[in-house]
Amino acid sequence: MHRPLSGKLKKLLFITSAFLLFNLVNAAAIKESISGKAIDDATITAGKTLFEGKCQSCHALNNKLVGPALKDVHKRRSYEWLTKWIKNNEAFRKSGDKDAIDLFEKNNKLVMTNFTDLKDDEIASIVMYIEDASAGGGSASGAAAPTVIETSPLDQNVVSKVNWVLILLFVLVAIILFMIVKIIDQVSLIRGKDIIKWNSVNAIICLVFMVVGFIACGWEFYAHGKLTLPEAGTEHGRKLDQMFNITLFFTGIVFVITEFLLFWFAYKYRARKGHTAYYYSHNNKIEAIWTLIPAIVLTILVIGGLKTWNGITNNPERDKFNVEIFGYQFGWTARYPGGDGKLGKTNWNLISNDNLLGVAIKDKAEQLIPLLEQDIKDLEILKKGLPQKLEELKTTLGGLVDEERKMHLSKIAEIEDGTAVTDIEKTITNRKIQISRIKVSLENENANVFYDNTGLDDIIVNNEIHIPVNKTVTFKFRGRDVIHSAYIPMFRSQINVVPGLNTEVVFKAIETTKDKKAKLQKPDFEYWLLCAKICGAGHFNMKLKIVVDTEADYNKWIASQAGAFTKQPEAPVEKEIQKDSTQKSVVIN
Amino acid sequence: MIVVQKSEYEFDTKRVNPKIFAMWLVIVAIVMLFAGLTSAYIVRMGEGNWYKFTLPVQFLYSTIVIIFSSITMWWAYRSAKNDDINQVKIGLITTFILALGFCYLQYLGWKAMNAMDLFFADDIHGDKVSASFIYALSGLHLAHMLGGVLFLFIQIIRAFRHRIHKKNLLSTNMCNTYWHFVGILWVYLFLFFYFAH
Amino acid sequence: MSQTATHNAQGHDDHGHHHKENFITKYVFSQDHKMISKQFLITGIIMGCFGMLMSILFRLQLAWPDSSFPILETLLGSKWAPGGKLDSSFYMGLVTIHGTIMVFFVLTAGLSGTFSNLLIPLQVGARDMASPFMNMLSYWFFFASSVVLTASVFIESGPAAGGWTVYPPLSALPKAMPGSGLGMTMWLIAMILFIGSALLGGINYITTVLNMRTKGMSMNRMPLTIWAFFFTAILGLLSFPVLLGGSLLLVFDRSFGTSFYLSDIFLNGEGALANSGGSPILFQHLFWFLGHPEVYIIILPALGITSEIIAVNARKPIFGYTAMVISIIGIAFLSFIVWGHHMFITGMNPLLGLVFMVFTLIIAVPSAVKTFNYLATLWRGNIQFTPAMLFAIGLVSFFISGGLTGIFLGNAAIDIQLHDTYFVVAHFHLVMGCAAIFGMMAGIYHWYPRLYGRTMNKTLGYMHFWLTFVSAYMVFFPMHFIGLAGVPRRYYQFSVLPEFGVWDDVNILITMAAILGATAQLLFLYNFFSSIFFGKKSDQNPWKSNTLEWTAPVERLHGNWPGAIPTVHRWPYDYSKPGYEDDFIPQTVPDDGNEEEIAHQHTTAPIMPESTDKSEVVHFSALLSRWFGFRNS
Repeated sequence: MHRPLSGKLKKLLFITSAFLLFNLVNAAAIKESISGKAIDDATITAGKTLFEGKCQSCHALNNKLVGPALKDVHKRRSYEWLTKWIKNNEAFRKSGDKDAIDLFEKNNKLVMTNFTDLKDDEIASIVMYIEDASAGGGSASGAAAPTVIETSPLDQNVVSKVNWVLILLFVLVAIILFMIVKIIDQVSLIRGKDIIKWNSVNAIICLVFMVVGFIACGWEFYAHGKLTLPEAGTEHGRKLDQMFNITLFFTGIVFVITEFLLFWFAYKYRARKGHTAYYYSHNNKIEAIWTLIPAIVLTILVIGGLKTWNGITNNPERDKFNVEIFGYQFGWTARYPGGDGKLGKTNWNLISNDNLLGVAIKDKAEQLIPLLEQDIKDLEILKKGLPQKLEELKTTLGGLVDEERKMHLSKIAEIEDGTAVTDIEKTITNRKIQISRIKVSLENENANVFYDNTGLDDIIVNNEIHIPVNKTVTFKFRGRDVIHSAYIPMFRSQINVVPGLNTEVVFKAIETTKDKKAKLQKPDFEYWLLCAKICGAGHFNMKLKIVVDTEADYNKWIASQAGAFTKQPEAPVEKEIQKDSTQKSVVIN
Repeated sequence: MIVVQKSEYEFDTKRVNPKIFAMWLVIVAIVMLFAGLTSAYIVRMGEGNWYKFTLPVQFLYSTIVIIFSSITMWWAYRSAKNDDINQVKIGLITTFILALGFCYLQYLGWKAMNAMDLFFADDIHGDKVSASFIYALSGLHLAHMLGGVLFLFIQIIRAFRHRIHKKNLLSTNMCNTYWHFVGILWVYLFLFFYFAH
Repeated sequence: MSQTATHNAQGHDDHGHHHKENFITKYVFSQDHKMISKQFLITGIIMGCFGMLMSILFRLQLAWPDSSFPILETLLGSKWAPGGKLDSSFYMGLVTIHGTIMVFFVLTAGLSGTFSNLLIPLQVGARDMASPFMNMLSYWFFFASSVVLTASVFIESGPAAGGWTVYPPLSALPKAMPGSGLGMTMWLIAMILFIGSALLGGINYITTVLNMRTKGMSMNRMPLTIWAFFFTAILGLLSFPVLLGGSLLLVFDRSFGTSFYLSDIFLNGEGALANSGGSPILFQHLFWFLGHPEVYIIILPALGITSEIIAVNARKPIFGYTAMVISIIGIAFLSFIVWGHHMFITGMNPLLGLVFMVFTLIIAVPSAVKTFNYLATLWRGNIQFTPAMLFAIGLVSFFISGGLTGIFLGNAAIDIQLHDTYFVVAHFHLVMGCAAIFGMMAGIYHWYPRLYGRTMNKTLGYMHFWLTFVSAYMVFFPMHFIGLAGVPRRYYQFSVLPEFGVWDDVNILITMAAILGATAQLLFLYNFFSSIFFGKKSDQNPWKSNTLEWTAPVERLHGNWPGAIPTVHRWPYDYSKPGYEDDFIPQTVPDDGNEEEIAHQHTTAPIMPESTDKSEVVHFSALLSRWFGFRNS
């Protein structure tokens, strides 16, 4: 990832790079992996891709984000433990593993996604990547350039020093200000009148503020205006930008005139000797004028707005090409209609580890019931075991301090005041209701209507989706847990993703990613979809890459995607070779 | 002995007693609460997936009861204006009894809804938010009604202490107004449930 | 309370009656509107400091996301600041509580509560509020609410963290986020208490303005502050109950298993929930039905205060009194039909979006009219730069900047791009966090002599103003551009996309400016609290103002005026009237019959036949004429 580097950071980077180079030369990077596999650049690279796709939304190396920092996790946990945890942390915790439960509690009981679809070698590659990154990047073979440059947390001493200097500075300034005030006041008291002509001083500062303010405004528009979004990648987006510019034109004029008059009048009509005010209480004519003019301008803006809004929300081409985007805590998954051109029906009761989107597939639904029933049995056992757990907790309380003690005590309290029991019972009730609902859906008539097999060939894609250029696409949004907001800045598109409500956006992308990269001369430009509605701890890290392809490229891409539920062997996937060696990726910690 | 205070507002013959005015504002606030919730009902109804059912007849009975209680309350207030303390007592107590009757009938109405498989919180069948709304709105109304019952009870005590008479009507007036309001509010809710279905 | 026939509304102000006051009844459970206003003010200031502290904490995180601040871990514990870096859930909690405190506790209670309480009885010529008891309750509900909300920050599972807008399902499900458990419950309790306080206060304000004006104080002789507070109270009365309704349904969803807002939910780690049939958007409708009038509840008093302060300090009548009143009424009315502009991107029916857009852009017109009237008042004035005046001028500047960006956001199409980005953050901070706060500051500096009989130190006041003014613009102006770059709000850090990295330096600048601004408030705090005891004693009417509050002696006099309440003979804006020696003519100065006055009717005869019924029977027609008549008594 790129970051503009301020002075301090540049220094740090230099030091770090030097350190890494030194390491590289000495081949002090990892020599072995806890996974037991041989250190291999390809594996590390694959692991990096997986990490970025699956882990990065909640984890970083050096800092806790949603989940804990992963640096040197291989030194803290065994490989077997890590595999079990990553694959299905829910089941792992249920099995009673103490470390797993502790970790969960410590992390505010935030639940990690179960990655049941990850194969062993994929997990191995992720772990290897983490090992490599923790060591500073660069593999044992020494052949590859550093894939990762760390920005480690600032040296704490530096921060402390800076803190103290700043605090001292503030105190000094405060004292000086204080003394100035006291002196001015005292002298004025003695003199009997203000030694400083405050009226004139303030009036002049008003004028100065105005001038400096306008200059600063202008500078802002220039310097920061440059950093705002480039031209929209969609048809309606360009119209939206036009609307924005028109509004800016009018409001800009008003801004300049009114702010000018405000400070100019403040200066010009400051009180001074011999100066009096002019008693002028009202003028209905001028009121009418300056009511009418804004009304007219706003009417123009309203009409423009109506047209643009209508164009966006009333697109006759909707539903011609649908892609579902499923938002959840904390990521996005897309679903394509597959060969039949239809997206399968869905229901939240069908969501499970191997049906993450809850698509209506009869087999999966039937398979889910025994899993849920097992769940209920496990929960009953858990409930029965609470008294014993309470005893255990009580006996192990002694000797714990601080946070650990607090957590322990709250666990005890939870059981004693009955919340633990109620929680479990509620979950059991939920499971029972879910089972009955699934059963109802599988009955005769319902089954034929609902499980209509349109979902069998659906294609599920994570991290990066492709859409064709110059074709009207309808993104259909579905939410799993809380309200998210699908915001695609470069498309000028945003819509809430609400559980229980189906929303959509209809647009036509008119510039391929490749073309955009060329036009902007930014080889790593991408179209991104972000979350713009507060949704929990990982709100700031939910993203989906949207690649706009030519029709041909898109067709190639979609052909290479496997159907999520088809029993056919996976089609050979042609992955583009990552051009990582030319990029300096800076992992944000 | 009642001491007449010289009002500083004698110049203003059209001035409304501030306490009465404040009571009306309280009524406005409560109206807005129910307006907001009945609007929510309409909005949700418009979104579809709305379970329709017939309102149990107990609510019709309770509506009639509350209308009667307004009549007895009116009677009590009229008697107060006429300084007829006995009638005041009769009126207030009858109103009180009718109010209790209303509460009981509402309770029966809810039980009747339960019997129709309509619950306040229905996890199992779900999608019967229409029922949840009715419980919520009638429950909230009952809460405000109970406030009125408390006010009424205070009036009864005052009546028995001979504190209510022609020259001492402010509190009774406010209770009267509030009582009619709570009655009208229920009639509105009842009609709303009836027709909105 | 006495139950006499011609009833004196006040509880215990009867002349000749002694009223033994102890410390408790004088300073704690006071029923005197002036003491209550001080209570609101000081509680509001304390909550403001708390809210500001939170903003500094999360600004630290935004500016230096890669650094660790050990002091944070010491202060907040290793749960919320492990390794000296704020936890992302707690960050969200800070943002939420900051918003809640600033919007409700500082800018509603702290602003309206203080100045409506202080000025309404004094400026309309009443002994106290219609119901001093209810007034006292209003403060203590507010106090209780503040305690509950503050306490919620320190509980184990953390404060409510779904944004001050607390949308379900996030706020309804404790398992969706830690702060949605007990923290959210406490938030709801605090808000229910707060709504109680606001309603109790509002009822008093409206009743006092309509029913307790002194002789000669017709509606169109009231200062604009009173008009503003009056309509603010009406807004509150009509909109807070709807939030109460929405909150109740949320309580039901959280605690009783109903499905008003919940449907089709699968929570990671919890599984499929049983709720079905609910609509999260319903909450948004109910919330914003209050939420939008709420922001006008915040800005209208500030605008009213500004009208007054600019007129007094420019020594000129406020330009266009009637237009200003009509603007206030227009804004108040329109504010009820624009709430949907907060929901343009919820997937609402486009037609509905259209309607809301039209009304939203219309509401810009009265706001513009007010701004132009302020400018016209300054024109050819004789401006005294008291700190209050500077803050009032600052308000106008912020109102222009912030108000104009509202025009972008009110346009539904443009809002698609800007909703929930930093552009919105810039907009509402400029209008609320800057303009409205400046109104509050202006009011404090201006009416300080009325509160405490002393003036605040004006040198410190000037420093306070300029430092705050400059730093406020430095904090919020760049945010427009951050939003235009597509950066969403409520983000813990900007790490999600490499291109957001260009804002790192800007974030540092903003945080530094915020720290500067926060420090400048120390000047204010020192000035405010020390002047209570050591400030220069002020004259009866230090700003040479026309309004009635300056005719009542400052020593905490029950009943405000020692003798009879003054009679009013003129409007409050006779400043620099030609033909008079002084450049101000207080409202109590009799008019010699030949004067031109702004009032359109100038009769002294009652408009309606005298009512013979002296009991407390309510005449509806009397009510109507009272409410809507622009007539002298």
